[in-house]
Amino acid sequence: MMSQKKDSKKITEGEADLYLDQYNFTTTAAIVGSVDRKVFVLLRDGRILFGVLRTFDQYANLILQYCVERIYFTEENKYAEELRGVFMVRGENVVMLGEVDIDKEDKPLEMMEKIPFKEALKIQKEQNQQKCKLETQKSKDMAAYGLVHDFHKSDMY
Amino acid sequence: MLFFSFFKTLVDQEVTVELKNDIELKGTLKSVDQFLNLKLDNISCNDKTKYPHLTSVRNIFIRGSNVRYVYLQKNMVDTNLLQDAARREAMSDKR
Amino acid sequence: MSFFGFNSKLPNEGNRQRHDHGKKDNNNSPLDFEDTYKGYGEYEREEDDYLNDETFGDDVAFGTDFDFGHGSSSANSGMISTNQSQGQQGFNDPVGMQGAQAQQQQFQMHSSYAAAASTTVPQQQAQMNVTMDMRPMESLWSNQPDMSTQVGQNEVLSMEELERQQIQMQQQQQHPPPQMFMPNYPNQQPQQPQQQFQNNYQNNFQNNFQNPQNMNNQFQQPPPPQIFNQPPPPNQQQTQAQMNQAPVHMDSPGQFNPQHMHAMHAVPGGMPMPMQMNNQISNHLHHQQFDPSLELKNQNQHRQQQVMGQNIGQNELLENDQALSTPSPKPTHQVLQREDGSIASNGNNNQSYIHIKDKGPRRMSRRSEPLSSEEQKRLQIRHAKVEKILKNAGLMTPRDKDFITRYQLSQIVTEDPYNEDFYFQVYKIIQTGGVAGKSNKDLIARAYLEHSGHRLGGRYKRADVALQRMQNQVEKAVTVAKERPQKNKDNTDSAREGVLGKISSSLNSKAPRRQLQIPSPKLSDEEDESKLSSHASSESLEEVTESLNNVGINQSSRSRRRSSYAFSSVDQISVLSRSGGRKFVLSLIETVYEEVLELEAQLRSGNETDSTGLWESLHIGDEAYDVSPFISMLSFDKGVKIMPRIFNFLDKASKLKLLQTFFNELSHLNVIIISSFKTNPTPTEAQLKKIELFQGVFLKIIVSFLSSSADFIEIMGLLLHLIRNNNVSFISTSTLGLNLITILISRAAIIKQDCNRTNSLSSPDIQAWNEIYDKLFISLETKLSLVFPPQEYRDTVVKETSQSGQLQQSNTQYFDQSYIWQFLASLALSGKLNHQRIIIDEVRDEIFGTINCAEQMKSLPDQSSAYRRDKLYQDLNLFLNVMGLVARDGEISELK
Repeated sequence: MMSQKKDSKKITEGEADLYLDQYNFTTTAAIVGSVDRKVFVLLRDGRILFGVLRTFDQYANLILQYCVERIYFTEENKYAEELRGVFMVRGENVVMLGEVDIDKEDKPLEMMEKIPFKEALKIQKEQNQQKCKLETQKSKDMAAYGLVHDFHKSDMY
Repeated sequence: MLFFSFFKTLVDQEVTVELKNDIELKGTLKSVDQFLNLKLDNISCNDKTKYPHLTSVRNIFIRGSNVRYVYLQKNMVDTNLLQDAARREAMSDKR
Repeated sequence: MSFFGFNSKLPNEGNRQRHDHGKKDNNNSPLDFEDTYKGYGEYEREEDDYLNDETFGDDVAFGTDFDFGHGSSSANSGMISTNQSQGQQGFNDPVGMQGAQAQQQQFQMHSSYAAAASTTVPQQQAQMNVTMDMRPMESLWSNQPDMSTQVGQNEVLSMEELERQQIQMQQQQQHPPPQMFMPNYPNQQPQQPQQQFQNNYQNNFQNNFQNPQNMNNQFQQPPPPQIFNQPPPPNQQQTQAQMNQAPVHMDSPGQFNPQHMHAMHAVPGGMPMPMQMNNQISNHLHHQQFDPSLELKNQNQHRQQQVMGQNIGQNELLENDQALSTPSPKPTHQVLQREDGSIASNGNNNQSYIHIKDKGPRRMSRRSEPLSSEEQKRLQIRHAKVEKILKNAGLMTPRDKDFITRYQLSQIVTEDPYNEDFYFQVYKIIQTGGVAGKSNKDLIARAYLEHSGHRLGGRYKRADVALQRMQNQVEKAVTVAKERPQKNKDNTDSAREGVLGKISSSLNSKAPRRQLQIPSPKLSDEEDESKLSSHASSESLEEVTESLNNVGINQSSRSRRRSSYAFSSVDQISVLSRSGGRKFVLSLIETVYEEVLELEAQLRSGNETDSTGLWESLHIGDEAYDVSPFISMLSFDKGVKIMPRIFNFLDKASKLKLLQTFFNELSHLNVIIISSFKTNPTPTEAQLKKIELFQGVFLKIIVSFLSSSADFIEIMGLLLHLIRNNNVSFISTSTLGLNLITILISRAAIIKQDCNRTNSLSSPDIQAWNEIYDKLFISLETKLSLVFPPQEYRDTVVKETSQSGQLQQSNTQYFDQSYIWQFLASLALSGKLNHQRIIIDEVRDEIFGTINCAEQMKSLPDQSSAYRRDKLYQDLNLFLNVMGLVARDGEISELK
């Protein structure tokens, strides 16, 4: 270790190889394959976005094109969607990002009834408020036992 | 770095990731990064109703901070080695 | 080998390179990437040009992507591209081909797509570019050299600078230099290829299809695999090809006349170059601006990849494509091709190509019949989707991707990468069966190729080229990262670093925020505690000492106390307290681990190891405590487990000293206490496991030490330590203790036998041995039958072991007494006749008891009873044979 410190500016071959191994263990490696593909992104606030991933950066900030926001009400078998255009998503708000099979993506929707987006938004808002209440109560209940309930108002996914 | 190091050894293994919203995603771990973001291939989901589109999703990138648990098989972990690694970590903390 | 045929040379440089490759295919044979690259490296050295690369995107991808057909048979290039656009048949086209070169030309054809595609660049544009092509040209090929320059620069680049660089890059992307084309807003820029692309795409499938000059052609080209796999198809292709010659598609005014283009290409020697340059330039520009030409490029990339058929995915594709290409009604066919093409164009990365394609074509392939309206509708939807996806594909250039990767790599860089990544590194070695350092570089490089969208290495996507590039990147990243710490001292930009991982309040992922804060106890508290416990224990010690006056041959009162103490309790706490307390011992173990880990790290890095620290940490011979802390360390599983690794670093003298201490204080050993039926008549499963662990680990070490390094006197010494300082009769009630004694005397007996043969043992040695043996025997005499545990104990052990099923004992149905017979056998072996008589006398009941037990088994029919019976006799005879006796079928007879 000492010797490494001494000539830290030099990179030994071993070290280089070590980092070469790391190549695939970067955020980039995980996301880069999805560039220029249709993806869905779930955000922490519960939004579900579909769009073509155009680019991203080292923070996993994303740029989605042809972005569609969709709301599901699976219990009522309904959904709504609205075209959003280009979306830039700040990386920290991403819950997950997945590549969508463009041949299969519409199948679940075929069985569902499409409702106006505005309407859906309204329902969703109510639902979220409900959930928020519930979770807050849960947090309180658990706190009574000295337990932590990991819930934040921004986490509606 | 210990957990990062640990998760790296799980690549290509099948794991189940439970998110903080109770969704469980099962799939082959394909990648992990320093923030413990995970990438899973061939995913299946315990709750298809919440995100119906997941059926059309084959691989998924999960942000590490939303993960509650990662379920592993026992044989995926070398506990003795892990202990040593933890010791190393502790050692380097001390320094 | 010969891929991109384009001449990357500046015009005035002439065609030297081209000629270099003449052997491949006439004079026009494509350039070799390597050569070209080498040739152009020097241009990169221009430092000022550095940002130019950033601006213009990744050069390699560029150059490589581009235009690989250009150099192909010049006259045919147009044709070829046409053909290709229509399918694989192209090369079969007699007109276009110079027969023999078919294979070569296949490749070239690929290239020529690109060339042809490049012609789509509007003429004006091309002309415009001619003036400025020099620079991009340089950078085109500069990839490698460029990297090197960058490395050089980056050596002094701080993170901040990196950032700035990035910003610049972004800015440049956002505000393209004036001479560039406007970013792809097709409608606003009618002359743009993008526009063409769009239009063609949407309106003119047919046209596109037939128009080679059109980029769309490329997209419509059937997958290259076909080229190989498919038998030369219909003439239709040819006709189409011819049709292509005519500029069918007139969407873009600036478009080159295809024939013109061809002519250009056809010109031998340097003439084509300007063309190429244009192409390249335009590509370059497009590349940055997300022009379709990029897609084109990408497509080419794909071609190459496909040609290579490198991976399974591609092979699959090939199959799909083949299926796809089966004759179908024309409209469908076209659609399909378009799809393919478009998908291919998406080919910025290999996977995406596969991915999308996978689905479409496969689906299609199932239906070679006309599509129903519903299906067609579906197809249309699909096309719309694909089109959208393709429209701006390539916005993120390979260079961008590299940049981010590099950035992230630099974040992982640490002072001591091996140790930081200890678990992974060692795990890998273990998994690969001890083959250290065998990096799967090739795999990594291939993965990189697939992901990054690079077309490094040309048609063959050579992994080594990619590897080289990656290595450059790594070097860069590491260099930058190593610059960083100094920077951060006064200027922390942690916020920027961790947004994705959101690591608050720390610089990087090395030290994430802790969710659990464990307060470290105040020192004074600890002292109090240990005082308290030592006080308590001394009380209990007195008590125990008092009650035990019969303890044998102890040397000093102190060691008597120790030995006697062993009887007091199974619970280790009191023993531990004699050696500093549980916490203290645990912390000692951790220190030992640290020392060992450190030594192992030294060993790995090939340094000399110095075990002094380790030795000190073992506290052997530490007189400060009543019980050596080392003995207490063995009370813990982790203390036992580390022993083999400790032994790796100790010299013989140290090992001997360690074992002396061990045998000295055997009675304090927790495992001895719990393995004695006297102190622990009802062992639990956990305790049995512990015993087994100790047997498996520490006993093994002792055995191997004794058999490999210890000489006769040393073994005697150890035995003496055992006898002098311990109550041997107590030790002998312990499974482990008995085993230890057995090991010592049997090893001594073996050495003695060997020495007898060679007469190498001096008489004082033998005398000393006899004395020690006598001592041992005296301490055991009259108590020999007591080494057999009571029935109750046996039953408990059997119950516990059979319940758990975890223990490795071969048979959990009954108590295995073989260890006792082994002990008696070795005791008898070393003894004289009178010793043997005494032994037999004392254990007579056990001998006959065993025989009886065995005979009872006889009446039981099942297999296991028979086995059990054999085993009983076998164990017993181990002992009896020493005295020339043998037990069999209920009788004891003389061994013959």
